[in-house]
Amino acid sequence: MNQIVFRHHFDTLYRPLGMFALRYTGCVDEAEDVVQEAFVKAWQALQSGVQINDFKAYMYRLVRNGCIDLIRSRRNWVDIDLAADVPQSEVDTSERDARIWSAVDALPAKCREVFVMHRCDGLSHDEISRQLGISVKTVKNQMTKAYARLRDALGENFLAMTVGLLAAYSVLR
Amino acid sequence: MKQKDNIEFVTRHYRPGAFDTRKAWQRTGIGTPRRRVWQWAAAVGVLLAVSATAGIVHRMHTDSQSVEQQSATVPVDAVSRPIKFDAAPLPRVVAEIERVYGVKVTNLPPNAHTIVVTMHYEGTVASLIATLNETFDINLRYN
Repeated sequence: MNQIVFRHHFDTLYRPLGMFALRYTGCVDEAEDVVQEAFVKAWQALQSGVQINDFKAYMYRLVRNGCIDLIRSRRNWVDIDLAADVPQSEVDTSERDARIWSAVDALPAKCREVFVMHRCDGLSHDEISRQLGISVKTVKNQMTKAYARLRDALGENFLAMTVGLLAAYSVLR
Repeated sequence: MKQKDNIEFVTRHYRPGAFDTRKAWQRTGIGTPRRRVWQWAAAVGVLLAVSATAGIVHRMHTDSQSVEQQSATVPVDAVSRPIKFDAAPLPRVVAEIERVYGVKVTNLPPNAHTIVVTMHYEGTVASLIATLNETFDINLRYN
């Protein structure tokens, strides 16, 4: 695998792997460190002639084991089989997380600011309105726009979830 | 409910600028940025040299035919250019390669629309096509 191919894998996998690591570490900086170290290890392995058949599975294992090492440095033991492949459900989850993260990143600046203040910082619409000097209606509009973008990012899955929620709601009523 | 969990999780941890793939790549040191700068400098140098040569030739020979012959001596395969794709389907990638390198790419696989390419590349069209073929196990050709 040459550097260009490796870079392609890096560009494709970095964010999903970051989300995967974040689920273990709970810390963005630590997750980024683990993933970057994993890519450096993989690159060194390739340079030394190691054959990697399934690069994606290999990277998920490396990152998972890196996270476990990190957690072990805080606790004495972690009950997990380091040689086993990462379950597909965890890979799927990390890829969904990455799509959402990218969608939030891609929001227009003002829309993202409102969204982060509301969803990440926990501020109410009134508080955001006062802090940014905009009306509550504008705050709500920006939130609606943000959710629309997230729906696009998740595609049919999000639509299915919404339909499912509406169906459950109508049954409960 | 999984999607709701995903949104909750991401919004709980989201931080603008985090998980930036380009910066992360630089931090790994694998990309050797010094070399990239030199590649850019070399590319700009080649471009300037070609422009200067074309200008001199144009002044020496006002005959437009001789200018065409001179520019035709730079083979397409030797031209190194930057090109970037972010989650682009293969047909769009091929169209961009044709536009940037001035070549015709053929032999797209039937499932071309399902192949999505993310790539930041600087180099020749020959190397790029070889890389795409290797990465996606396809057999693109160009002329």
